Amino acid sequence: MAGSLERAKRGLYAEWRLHALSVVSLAVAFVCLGAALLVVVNLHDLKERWGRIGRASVYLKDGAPPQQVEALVSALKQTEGVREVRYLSPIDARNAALGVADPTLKALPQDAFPASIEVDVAPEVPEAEVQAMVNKLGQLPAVDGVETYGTWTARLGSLLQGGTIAAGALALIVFGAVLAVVASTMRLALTRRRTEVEVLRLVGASDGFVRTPYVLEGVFQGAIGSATALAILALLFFTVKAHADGDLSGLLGLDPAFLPLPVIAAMIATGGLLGALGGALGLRKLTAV
Amino acid sequence: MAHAGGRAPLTPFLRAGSRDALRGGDFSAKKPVLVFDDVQKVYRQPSGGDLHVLRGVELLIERGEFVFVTGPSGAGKSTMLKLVYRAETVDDGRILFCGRDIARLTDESVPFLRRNLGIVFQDFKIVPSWTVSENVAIALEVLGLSSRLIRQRVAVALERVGLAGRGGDRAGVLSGGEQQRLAIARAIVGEPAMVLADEPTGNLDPALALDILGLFEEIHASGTTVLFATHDRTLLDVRPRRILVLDEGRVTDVHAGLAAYAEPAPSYVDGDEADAEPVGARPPRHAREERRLRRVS
Ligand SMILES: Nc1ncnc2c1ncn2[C@@H]1O[C@H](COP(=O)(O)OP(=O)(O)O)[C@@H](O)[C@H]1O
Ligand SMILES: [Mg+2]
Repeated sequence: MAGSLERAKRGLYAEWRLHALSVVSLAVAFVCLGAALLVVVNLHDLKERWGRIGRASVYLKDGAPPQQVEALVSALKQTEGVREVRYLSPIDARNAALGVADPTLKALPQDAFPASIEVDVAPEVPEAEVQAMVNKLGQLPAVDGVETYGTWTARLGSLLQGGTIAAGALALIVFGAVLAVVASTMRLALTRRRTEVEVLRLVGASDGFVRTPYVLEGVFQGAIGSATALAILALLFFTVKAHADGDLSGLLGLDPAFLPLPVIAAMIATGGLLGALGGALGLRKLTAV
Repeated sequence: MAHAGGRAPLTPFLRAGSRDALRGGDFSAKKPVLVFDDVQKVYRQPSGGDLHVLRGVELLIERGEFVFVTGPSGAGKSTMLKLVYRAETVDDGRILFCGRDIARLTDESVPFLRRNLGIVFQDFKIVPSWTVSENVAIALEVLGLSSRLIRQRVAVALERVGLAGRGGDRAGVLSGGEQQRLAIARAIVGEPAMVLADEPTGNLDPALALDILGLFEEIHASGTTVLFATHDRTLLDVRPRRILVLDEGRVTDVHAGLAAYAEPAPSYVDGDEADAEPVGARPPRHAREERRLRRVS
């Protein structure tokens, strides 16, 4: 094994241009895959996050009697699982939507926005319970309607599903490309190193002894290719994030994250494994004796 | 198959690289290293038509012998050697190497056979991008020896071929003669039962050719069996040696039937007198055989 590693190192060193070219091609393929994974991972986080935000806006009918509204607010405050209840008058709502200091919109009537009660439910409360509360609230005479983030979560869910399928398809294409690149690199390396193989056969090397370094070289290529891709992706990601500053997180309601460590490790391992497979594939035609 | 007894051994060949296995135990001093028994080889040519290269070759080489194989170009010298290291297989007949029929070895056993052979070619077959040491060490790495032992034995082998101190150089920078010395070091480092040389001087100028022949003689003098294929007459004339002439598919043994087998075992085979040179004891060549050789060149 130590000898195989040594010979693999020699091979990588002697043919470094060929191997560097292969690593770059692999890195390009893995950047595509990594980017897709990055989108999927963040969509997933977003969905998780939004799914957990038990938030409901209870829109009140125009002219709902203030006592009824007050009673509703205090009743909600005493409900288990409710963290915060806030009454939003039409003026508050208008300010929140348009910004306080916008003079051009001053012309809008005072009651352009309906009054509402904003309810924050603790994230531990199950979806079904929130839904039951929403249904009950909707039947109260002072309530015009109730809106939750449920529809958004559902939409995000289907988006996530689409993204996952697309990433899966992309992964298949990338895997195929990686296998092809490593296999053809090995075939090329093999023709350049025909003398080496011939010498190994002459001195009585077993088939495994001849093949192992090539497979190891494939592992290096795959692992280094995917690691390079991750490094490029991380650089791009953090640069963009630094420039976009708070805007992005404000827009999404979430701070976009880079790929988690297990995904990074899995990608590098996959690169190595595909490299080994590609190496073995490239040696198919290496006859036994 | 004509020979019912000619079964391929299922077990791995001799313990790789061990001449001890030949020295003691199983092999008595007079046991042959190599026997060809009615060996037939036919190449099927793409143009149709068969080329019957070997037509019943018979030969017997004993441990510690130095034997030339000669014959015109295309006579089948390389083919004969290829059959021994199993780059080709016989169509009929048996080849016994250290008592085992290698003609029908399984592919898995071929590496074990080759670990007991040192092979030298006209075109050196060294890896130019490796260092001199690495080129020699590979023959021991396949045996799985420790790196300390490999370093020691590589140094000794390089010393023997006159490349001491060149171990760290890239093999590609060596001259032709030096590259062939390197190839010889690789062939002997594993202490094989036999060294096969296929026109090892073919790419070298005459002075270097004699140099390399001298090196083979030194290796032989230290107890290694050598089978040296060449069509170069000048090499055959350097010293009286046993010569196998291959022509029209058959081997004529120039010394067979004369004194080769009547001689006592050369003292260098078992003992410490490694430098003893036994060939002087052999009778001069027979006139008829001289004639045959003239036809060759
Ligand atoms: N693989 C092969 N296929 C067909 N013919 C071959 C093959 N190898 C050698 N020959 C033919 O067999 C004959 C003997 O070749 P070879 O053993 O190389 O001769 P030598 O080494 O004595 O010059 C030649 O005529 C050669 O063309
Ligand atoms: Mg030849």
